[in-house]
Amino acid sequence: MLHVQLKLANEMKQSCLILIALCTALCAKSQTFTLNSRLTVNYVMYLNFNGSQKYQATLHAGKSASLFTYQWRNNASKNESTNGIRRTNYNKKVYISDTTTFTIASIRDTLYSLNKGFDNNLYYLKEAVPNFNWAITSKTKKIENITCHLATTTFRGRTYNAWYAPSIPIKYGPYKFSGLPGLILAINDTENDVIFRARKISYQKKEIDASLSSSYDVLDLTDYLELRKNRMSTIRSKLEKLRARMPKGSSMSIDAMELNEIERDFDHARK
Amino acid sequence: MPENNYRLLYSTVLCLLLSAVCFSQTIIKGQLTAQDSALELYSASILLKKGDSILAYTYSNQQGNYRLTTTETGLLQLTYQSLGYQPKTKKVELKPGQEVLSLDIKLIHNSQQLQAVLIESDRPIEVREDTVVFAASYFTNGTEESVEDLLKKIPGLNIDDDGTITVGNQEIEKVMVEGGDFFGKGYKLLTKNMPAFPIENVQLLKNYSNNNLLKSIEDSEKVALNLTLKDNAKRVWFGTIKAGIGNGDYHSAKGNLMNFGKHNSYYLLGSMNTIGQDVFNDIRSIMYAQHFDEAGHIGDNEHAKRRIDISRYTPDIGASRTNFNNDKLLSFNAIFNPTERLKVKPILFFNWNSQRFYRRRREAVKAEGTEFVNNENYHLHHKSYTLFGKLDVHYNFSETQSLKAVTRYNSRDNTANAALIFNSQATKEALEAQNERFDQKIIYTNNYAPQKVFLLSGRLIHERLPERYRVNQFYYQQLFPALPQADNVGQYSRNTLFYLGFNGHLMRRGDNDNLFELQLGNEYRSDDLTTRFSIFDQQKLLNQPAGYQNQTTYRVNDLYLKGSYEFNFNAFSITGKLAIHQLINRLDNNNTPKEETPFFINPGIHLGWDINAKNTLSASYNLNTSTAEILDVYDSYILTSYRSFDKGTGQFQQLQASSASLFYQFGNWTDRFFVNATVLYVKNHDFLSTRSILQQDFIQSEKMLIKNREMLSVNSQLNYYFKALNSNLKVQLGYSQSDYKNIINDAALRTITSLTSTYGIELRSSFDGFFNFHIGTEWRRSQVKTGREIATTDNQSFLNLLFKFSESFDAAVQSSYYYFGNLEQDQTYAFLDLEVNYALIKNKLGLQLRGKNLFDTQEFNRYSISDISTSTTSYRLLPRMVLLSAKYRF
Repeated sequence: MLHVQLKLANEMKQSCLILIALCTALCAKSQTFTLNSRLTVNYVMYLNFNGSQKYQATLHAGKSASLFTYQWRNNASKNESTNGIRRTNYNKKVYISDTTTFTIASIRDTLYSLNKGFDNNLYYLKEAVPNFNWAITSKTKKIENITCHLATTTFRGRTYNAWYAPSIPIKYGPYKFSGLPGLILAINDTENDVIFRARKISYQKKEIDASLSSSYDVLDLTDYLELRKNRMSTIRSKLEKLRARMPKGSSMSIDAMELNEIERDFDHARK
Repeated sequence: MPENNYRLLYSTVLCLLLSAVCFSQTIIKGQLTAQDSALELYSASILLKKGDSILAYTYSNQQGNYRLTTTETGLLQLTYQSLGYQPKTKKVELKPGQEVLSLDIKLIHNSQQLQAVLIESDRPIEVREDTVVFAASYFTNGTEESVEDLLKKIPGLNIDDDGTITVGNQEIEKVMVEGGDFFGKGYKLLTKNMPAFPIENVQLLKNYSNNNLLKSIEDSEKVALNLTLKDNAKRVWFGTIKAGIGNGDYHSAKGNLMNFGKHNSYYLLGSMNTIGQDVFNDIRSIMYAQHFDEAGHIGDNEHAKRRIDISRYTPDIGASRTNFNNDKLLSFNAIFNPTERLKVKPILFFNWNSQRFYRRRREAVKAEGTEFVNNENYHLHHKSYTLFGKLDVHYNFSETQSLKAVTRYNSRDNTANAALIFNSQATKEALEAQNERFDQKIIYTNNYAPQKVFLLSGRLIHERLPERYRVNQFYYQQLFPALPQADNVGQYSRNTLFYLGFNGHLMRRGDNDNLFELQLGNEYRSDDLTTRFSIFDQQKLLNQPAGYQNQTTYRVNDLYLKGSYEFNFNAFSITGKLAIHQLINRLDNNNTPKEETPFFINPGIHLGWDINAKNTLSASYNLNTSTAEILDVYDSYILTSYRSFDKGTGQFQQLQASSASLFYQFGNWTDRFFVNATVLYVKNHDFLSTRSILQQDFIQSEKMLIKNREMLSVNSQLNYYFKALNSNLKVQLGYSQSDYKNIINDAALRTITSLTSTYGIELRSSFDGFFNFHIGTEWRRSQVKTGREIATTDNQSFLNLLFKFSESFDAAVQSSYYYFGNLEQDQTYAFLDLEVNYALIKNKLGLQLRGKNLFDTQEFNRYSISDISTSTTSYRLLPRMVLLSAKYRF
């Protein structure tokens, strides 16, 4: 099976699609919002699509709102020394080490998540807080002496196992996950491509600025899915070209196509 | 109609009644407030439990109201929790039919500040600088049989149907076990066969470099895997065996056996075949490993030179079509890790090789007034026995310092017997050649500061290559008129090489990735060339003629300083190189010693420019002076085949050449339109050409120094993807021209122009279905201009069909077609080959059917031209082969 990763997509130029994005983008009014955080959780987050990328993530949870932020963490100093842009040889790829802090703000019933598009532009995706339809099980385990219960759900192409702590009555969790009767301390998909692990829970009350930045456009889910569809077909056509350009005697097969992202399938779960 | 309505009403009522009885729901509702302040508690959790299992849950709304529904009855408990309040549990009993339970709850404020919780356990993945460690137990469930099954469950690794492992879009370099590696890119042999249970951790190594300490310098984007084993895992032997049998004498067998442990690993390989596969080629790359792209390697090109070459020349239809062989190979490999820091890796190869080769040639020579036709019918039987041993010792002093020592030894015995008919005269050639070589290399690496590395390497090579050659005819009467009774000849020759080299190499990668390199080194090479040519009458030695005996010693000592600097600036990169050489050379031909101390500087520059996303341009220029080799400087004739003598200049030579190249690319591999073009121009300011005596029975050539030779070559490739056809069209154009000079039969120096142009076109499909095709054709026109002009046009076409019927069943049909314009008869040849694979039990037992030369073509004729002749050569081909093989994994 040939997996296609986001990086490939990022390298592509699709000016026509950018146009669509601009036309349909909602007017980006600066929305200010202050979150009264009652609890802060530090998570480590692994995205394992392309080797393993480790992220540092933080959840600030209030009563009716939360803010989840995550940032790529690379210990290698060489990437930092060159201001995030690292060139290799003249004919090789150009790497841009990503220092963006991604945010997901859950405000009442609406989620605003900062995403990076295939053209490397940042934008907010606005959607309703997903209904996860958690299946509660009777399985329990202890994580650092906190009793956790197992719940499962399927969200946009992945099945997740979540360990939540009923003793911490917070309905929010890492990423977009929410709605369990307790804080999620550990969650991963069944393929272990997406992994979150809580490392520290602290209970200070503080005020957190969760305002949306006015520099980015806001797309709704319909716009986003349209862009995504176009991107998939572009990647597919590139792969077909590669297959037709294989040297004599060697071959390549394109069996299945999926974008290596946390959310990879919108067909079965539109909401 | 009304009747129907009534029926509907009845059934609806019935359903409602039934559901009310069977699934009577109870609503639990109420309000949560703080006990002290009567504040409504928002976002408090309410859990309804029976025993330990959670039946339902909700969060209170802004007014503190909550509402739960349940179908459960009996004794239940309700837990109310809000951050900053003490949790409260209420026991309730729900009776069947109870519709509503109202419970208002007051929670007591918890004045104690909750303590922060740190979670240390539960770490499935460790990410270190360039290494990601996966704990195998976390990702597996015990059903995995092979390492491949296990790797499929490791996140981020993609394993495709044939076992190729990729990370992202990149294939991995190798799979190591406890840091040791046997197979390199052939890792599938390991991953498909090794059992999964001993694996403890899987380590993904990013920015992988063969010398770990060069990581910060080299711009490696390679990835590799390392498997670590459990301490107490039981050792098992495992492997594969593949055996095939065909029509006639065709057979082929290959077996692998291996065993991996924490401190030592073993790998055994045996193979044999009579289907034309030259297995010695597989070990050649290990024997004479080249490391062009790795720092610290010196002396890679130092070899003793053979003089007699009666090995076969094969036409470009694949060497295996003309190789009537019987090859056997045995190999033993091991890796020992006595301590964490020390790794010892011995390899031992034995190869027995028997090859027969048949050729008929008609050569029409016409040059400088000389004109004749030679006919030759040639049958060669070549046998060789090779022993090769290699010992790698790798010691890590610390995180930043390591020492690597590689010892190689090989011994090869060749026996070649050729029976030939030359112009209806039966002739026998016999060659016995031994090759013995010892090679010791040591590399010390010190990564003394970040992005700064110092390497110190040393190498010693000693090689002996003696050759005994007999020809049972005397074709050289014209050269030796005083020996009318001579009827056969013999020659003993021996080249002994001694090489000693040292090199210090400093590398620094600075800001913007600019790379600075400096090397100081000394390389010494000494060659002894002894040749003795004898003329016999039967067994009686008649003469060892003067001018045909060599006693040459040639010593070259090269002290050099090399520097290069790579400078990157936005879309530009510039690399400047400068090498300063001081040589001390000593040449002793038959006891007449000479010395010289040439000094030269070799500069070079490379420019790269990414004009924009679509256009890339690069150019380079080098001026290179090189000093003559042993085969250029001996001063008496050596017999090099049954009808040719060669001789060097007897002098020191320095040869200077300039070369310039240009590369342009438009688009990328994944664009619809993609073009690239390369232009290369070389001017040899001095070069060694030949002065030859051309006779029907023999050729005698002597090297001589000539000025100015030019070579130009242009190659370009164009790709266009037709979306409607789902196919890629490739057009290839090539042109090369070279001008050189030589002297034939004492005539004046003549200029030769050789021109070659190629035009090719290919179409390859990219269908998603079970079928794909690849079709192409290429014309090649060769032209040689001397006084006269000769030209020939050949064509080569192919059609390959690929079928993938299912996961376990695929087939490939390859056909090729050749046309030689200047052949008088049999101008066209067609070949058909077939391969069908069927997996009976996936990854366990498979069958393969191979067909080769299915049209059963007996001979292949080729037409070729040179500056002195045109020739037609027929090669005998291996007859039709149908081979059925089975592959089994144990």
